[in-house]
Amino acid sequence: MLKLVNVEVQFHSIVLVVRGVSLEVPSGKIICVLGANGAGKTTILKAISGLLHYEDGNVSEGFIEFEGKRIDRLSTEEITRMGIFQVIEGRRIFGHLTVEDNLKSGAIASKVNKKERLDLVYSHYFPGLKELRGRKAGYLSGGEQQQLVIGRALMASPKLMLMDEPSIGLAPLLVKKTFEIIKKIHEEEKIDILLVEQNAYAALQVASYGYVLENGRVVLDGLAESLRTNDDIKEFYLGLSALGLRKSYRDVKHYKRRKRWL
Amino acid sequence: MEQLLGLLVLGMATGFVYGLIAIGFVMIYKSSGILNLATGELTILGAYVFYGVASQLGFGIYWALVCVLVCALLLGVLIERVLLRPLAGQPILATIIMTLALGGLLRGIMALAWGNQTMYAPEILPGLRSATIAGFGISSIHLIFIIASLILVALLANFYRYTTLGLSMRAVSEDIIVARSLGIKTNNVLALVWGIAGVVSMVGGVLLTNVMGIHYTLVDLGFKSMAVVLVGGLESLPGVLIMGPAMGIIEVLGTRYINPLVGGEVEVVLPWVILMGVLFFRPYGLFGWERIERV
Repeated sequence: MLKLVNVEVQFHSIVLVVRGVSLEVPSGKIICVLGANGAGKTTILKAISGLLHYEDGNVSEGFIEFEGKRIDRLSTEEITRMGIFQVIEGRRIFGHLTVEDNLKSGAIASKVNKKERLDLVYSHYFPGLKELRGRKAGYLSGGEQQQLVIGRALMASPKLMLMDEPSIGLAPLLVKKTFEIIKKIHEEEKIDILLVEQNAYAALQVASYGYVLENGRVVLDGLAESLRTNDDIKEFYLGLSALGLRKSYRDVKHYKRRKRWL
Repeated sequence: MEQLLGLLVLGMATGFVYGLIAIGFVMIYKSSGILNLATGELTILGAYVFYGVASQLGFGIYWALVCVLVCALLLGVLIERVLLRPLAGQPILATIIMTLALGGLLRGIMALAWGNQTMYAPEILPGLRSATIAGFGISSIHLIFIIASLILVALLANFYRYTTLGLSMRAVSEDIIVARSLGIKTNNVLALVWGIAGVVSMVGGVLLTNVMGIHYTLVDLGFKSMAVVLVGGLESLPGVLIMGPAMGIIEVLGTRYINPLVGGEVEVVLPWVILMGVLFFRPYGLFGWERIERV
């Protein structure tokens, strides 16, 4: 459904941030993109949602297709109206607006029945938000704000949700809950999800396919199960190694252990 | 005592003039996060256009009013499209300085076009001389000012609270990037905001022509209204309604009671002294939004 082919992203016509990335989000799937800080994950999402244009960035090579239509020259408004909804990194709620207004703002651009969507969010997904509906969103806790941004995205009833690090700054228990909700949304609302994460463990639990990004390149991709068992992923993203076994100093020195994909 | 009450009514009446101009400030700020430093200039331009069409070109006040409305809407949209949109993505300060430059430009144009003489526009409502409130005469135009401000604030408040467009505007002013990501047509929203704000300011100017003679130096009223806005809080429409008259009353009282002691001009200083005081204790104004910061 969503397809990136050899996408290169440039900022200010000089800085190359994403170098020839190809990836695909087929219908009915959760796909994740893993990578460390500065790998280009967020940039890829911005390239898809069109927010790149406002930061003097553009797709300089390759193209992005959604439902067979090329979208990398369209504006964010047009892309959102086609059914792609980006949940921006860092829980950016409208702090001075009430919870309910925040939710309503998600549905401004789509032709949905606002009342129905609001009901769905309140009763089915986030009952906690209903009690907070009149509260200024800026005073919510981090977990509640996370619920709010996901709720806001739900209001738009998109076909594809781009989620940028939903786990950032959340306690482990909340991370777990958040990913459960993401899974639930995917299954019950039939919304495809492109998930960008540093928390590889959590992301690979819900995603069916993953891409690993480094320095703007896809260095590895595969089914979630195979990524979970990949030695390199374990070592560099899951922080696991042969646990309990004796380790030689050679193994601990990270630069000795070369990533095999390089 | 009687005299004091009279002063209060007079102060309140002049205060609503500030209030009406201040609504222009709040409207732009609330919807786009920009402090429009050309608000006073727009107001006086409205007055001049009204005078020009009604008296100089002789079309009468109705056509003049229509003309002001159309000009205001066009000018507002034009300002956004030509001057401000290219600055999108730049620091907000660039935009604010742009409005300052625009103000200077408008002032110059007005001085060129209409010269240095004070001009008097025809009355909007001839025949209505003055009304009496609690035994004190108040000119009908002041009354219109008060009513216009109240109606305008009520309309705007409901607009912001209950309409989708109002919600879009609040969203745009809080976080334009998120607003874009929600699919809000931010450019259209901003153009409309400036259009409406232009109308509010320039129609305020038309009312102003009936209170005093028109002269381009009256743009200082805009400056004074800024004190009102900052004391009241940049996002607060009720703040404007309260602080406008309050500032008017303080000015009048200052003129009457403090001026004889110090030899005059206290009314020029007072708003700023008050502004300083308020900024110390509530930097976001008396009724403004407290900055919510969470880490």
